[in-house]
Amino acid sequence: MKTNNSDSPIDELLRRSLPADPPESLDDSLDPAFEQLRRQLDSEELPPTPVADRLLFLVSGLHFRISAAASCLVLAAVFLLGPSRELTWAEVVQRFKGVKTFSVTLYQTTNPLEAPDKTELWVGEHRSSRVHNQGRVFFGRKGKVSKVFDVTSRKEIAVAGLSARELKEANLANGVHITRMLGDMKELSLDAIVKTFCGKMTYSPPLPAQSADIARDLKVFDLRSDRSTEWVRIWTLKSSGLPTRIRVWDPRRGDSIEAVFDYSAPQPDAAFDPDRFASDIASKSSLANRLYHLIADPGKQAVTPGDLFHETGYHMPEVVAMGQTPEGVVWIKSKRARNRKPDGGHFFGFGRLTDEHGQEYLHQFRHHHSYEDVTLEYHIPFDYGVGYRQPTRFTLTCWSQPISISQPGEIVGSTNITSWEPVARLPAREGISPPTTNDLLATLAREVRHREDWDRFDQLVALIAGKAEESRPAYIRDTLIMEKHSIFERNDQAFDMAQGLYVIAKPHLGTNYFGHSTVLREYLRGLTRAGKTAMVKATVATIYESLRVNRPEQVKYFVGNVLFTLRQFSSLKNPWALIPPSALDDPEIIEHLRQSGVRQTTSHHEDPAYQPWRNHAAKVFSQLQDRPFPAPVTILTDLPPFTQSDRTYRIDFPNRPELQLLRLKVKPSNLLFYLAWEQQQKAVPMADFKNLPDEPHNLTIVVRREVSSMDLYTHVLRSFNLVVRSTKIRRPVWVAQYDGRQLPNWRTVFPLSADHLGSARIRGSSSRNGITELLRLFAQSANSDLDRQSGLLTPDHVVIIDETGLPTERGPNQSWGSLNLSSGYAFWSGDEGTKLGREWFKNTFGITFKEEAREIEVLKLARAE
Amino acid sequence: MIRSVWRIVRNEDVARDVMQEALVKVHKNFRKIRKHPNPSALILRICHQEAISYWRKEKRRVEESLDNLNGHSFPDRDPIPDKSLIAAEQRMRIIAALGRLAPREAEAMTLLALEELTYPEIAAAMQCSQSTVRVLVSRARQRLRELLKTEKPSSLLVR
Repeated sequence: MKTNNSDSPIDELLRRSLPADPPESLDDSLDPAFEQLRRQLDSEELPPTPVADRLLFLVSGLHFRISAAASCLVLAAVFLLGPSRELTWAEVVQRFKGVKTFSVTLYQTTNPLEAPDKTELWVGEHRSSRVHNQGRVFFGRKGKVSKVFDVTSRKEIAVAGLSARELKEANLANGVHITRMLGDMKELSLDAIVKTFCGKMTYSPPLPAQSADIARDLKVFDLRSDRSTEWVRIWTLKSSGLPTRIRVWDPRRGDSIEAVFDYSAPQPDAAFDPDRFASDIASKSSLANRLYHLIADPGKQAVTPGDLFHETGYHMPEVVAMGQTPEGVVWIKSKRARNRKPDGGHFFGFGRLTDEHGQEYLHQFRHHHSYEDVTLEYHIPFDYGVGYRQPTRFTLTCWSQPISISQPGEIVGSTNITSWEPVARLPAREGISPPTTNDLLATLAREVRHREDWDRFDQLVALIAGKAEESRPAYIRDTLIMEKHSIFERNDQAFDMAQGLYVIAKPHLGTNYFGHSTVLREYLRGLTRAGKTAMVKATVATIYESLRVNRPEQVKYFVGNVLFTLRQFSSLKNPWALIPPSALDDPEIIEHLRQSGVRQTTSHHEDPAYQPWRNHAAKVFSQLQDRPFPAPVTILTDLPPFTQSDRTYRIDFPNRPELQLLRLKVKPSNLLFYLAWEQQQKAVPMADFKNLPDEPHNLTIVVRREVSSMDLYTHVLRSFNLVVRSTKIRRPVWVAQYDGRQLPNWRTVFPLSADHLGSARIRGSSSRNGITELLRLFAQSANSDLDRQSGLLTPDHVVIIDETGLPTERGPNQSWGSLNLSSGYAFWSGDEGTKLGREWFKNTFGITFKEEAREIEVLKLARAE
Repeated sequence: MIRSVWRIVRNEDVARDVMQEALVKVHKNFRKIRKHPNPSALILRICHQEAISYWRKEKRRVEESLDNLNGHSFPDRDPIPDKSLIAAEQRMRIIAALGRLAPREAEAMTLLALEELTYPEIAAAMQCSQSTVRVLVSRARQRLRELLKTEKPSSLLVR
């Protein structure tokens, strides 16, 4: 051991305090580097100084305990612990070649003041790819687009054959271009990727940017053009030699592309499978779940609401405090109150309260304190003020409280409560006074009105005190009464109330349309019935202008609702003329109307699509100007039919208001169906066309204005020498029977859920979901091959006979809504769908179907004698 | 090389980084090192230079992971946990103090005290005379005594 004859305590302190044994892991970390060096030395040209010479020098020249193999590691570290400080572009390209899978997020900015357009790209084995852009998912393989899906509609989009302009207009250009770019590159090299970014810039290998040496572990390369101001910058990690970021920038305009690379664990094969994606997203309920379906996070973190839900599931809230007011209103404070749903939505607290007497309560969510995760909810007894029985036990049920008819609620769990604070006032929250008795009554009355339980409604509104102009509950009361008048078609009374309420609502409509939309609707209806269209137009214009300034987000709903209201009046030939022109030019409003099912934004009378029909009609009118038409219906056979388009409508004869011209393109079977429909399906239309022709006819008809549809169809059939005969036949039928149980509140009844069978044959909701409608729709779905134009049945089709005894006609204090059984409907075709439908009827309503042979009345076509 | 770097930086990732820099320098100056009368001393000097230079450039404390305490004991006995923490703090103070020395003083001191090279070897490595080495070592010892005697750990951070 060497000595320096030094007895300095400082030297001893240094020796003692800084021992020289490094951790084994430091040595161990060099082993893989050594292996990689071996491979690299085998495949690459040696650096200028022969490795062997360096090894010889190192082994002989140094005094430290490293194995002979590790001596190579000393030099291997030069290349492999990290590339040399002088990392070259060639090394970076080489490293990237070894990468089989990676992902890139691209941010493209054309206007620096606007948000960039984001594209995500995953590249898998064999150059399979998946691109996300603008809500679309593009699957590709070796640069060929295999399938494209729109996440919002869940539908596949056909892109084959679309021109560049069409792709751009459909916002598909970016996704398609990036997918194809992967095929345009002969090899997926970094040079090729950078060349693609360069666009029209002349490509040359990027050079190290010395001035941009911003961090010890980053190496920056630049590529500049001598012909333009654009430049490309690539950031690479020294340790791995892989690029992390590429930026293309044009300082002239400020537009740029930024690409951020990720080299995490590869995505599973399923992530690149378009067929799997297509079949799965049909059942995915949120956009995030659909967009990132099958994308895996390498760190096992959840990437979608569905993934997070899979990890956490639902949990029961915990009651913190509970009380009941003297009137019977129950309030509950619960903690751990927020539950997150698979679609990313959430619900709070319990949501449902029942007692041992079976009394029903209306749930009202009041408040959720996000930080403390505490919810306050109320439950108002439906028998409030009318024979409410004090319970001794409550059952709190936590359920997912859905608002969509396609998502039935899921029960998380229940808990029984036998003690609470009696005679306890409703708690205030954060300085806000709790609701008054009138407030609660108004809330209950609103719910009862929606259920169309009019007897109970009348009781409740009689309990709400005050004047509409002085009290919000009283205003709500009067609005609900007005609605009842409207539903029962007591239009004069509805309009009388609407005029008074409109005076109260008017100052607020321009800033809070939603809060007074019902009053406005009745007011406009009344004005329209009275023929005061100028007042309608002025009122709509005033509110529109005010909303545009104060509440622009409500404008499209306002215009849509007004249009919907006015279109119900056939006396208004052109309701669109009452909407401000600028509203009908607004793309956002047009899109909202389109999504709401309003395809037309002009009347037939002004829509250019109907101009060919109007031109044809004008020629016909000129030829028939003086011809008399005494018969109710005259089929014109001496004039050529109209064949230019299917856009026609009943058009008035000029100067002869008693006559109209119409075109009818029908088969006899269509007319049979219409006739059966007009008879409200008291008899079933059946067809047997072995001996009867069922060919389409294109007829031009002059009809007197007072002729009914039934008479028109009957007359037309007669012209074919056909008549409709009623007859009785014996055939198998399903007899619907009801076991008499108490039916649930229809608003809490959700349609059948069977998405695992694919798309429902029939799904929707309407204002009429009573027994007649539900059985008709169920039969329609069971007869999936039924010709929907004719609706004609064959002996093999299902016929349902309603013997449930449930009301099909409204009583004196009942509206059509009073007859509802469900909030919506959904039925699937096929044996499985039909079976599930029968189970739904049985489990939900106690309605079963007994199959037997019965004699039923049918309508048939026959030759006229 | 690894040991000499480890003595000063006491952090695996930093040690790898510093060794990388040292090896690059070794590689770049390979021909010169081959011709040097004491190549190993020169290489050790390079390692120390890089380790101490790392301190100065990054201006941050060397934090010793508590994990590194495991198995790294004083020569005579395994410290009990609380004493290990004290030892770690002392190491940090010393490393910080080394960082406060003039570069050539720190080089001379570490080559002498840690690598136990002789004055002639150090002189050859530093390409100076032996008397210069003695002066550098003397100044380093004096300065270290002052720093380690009077200052609290936090103020020994390299600025």
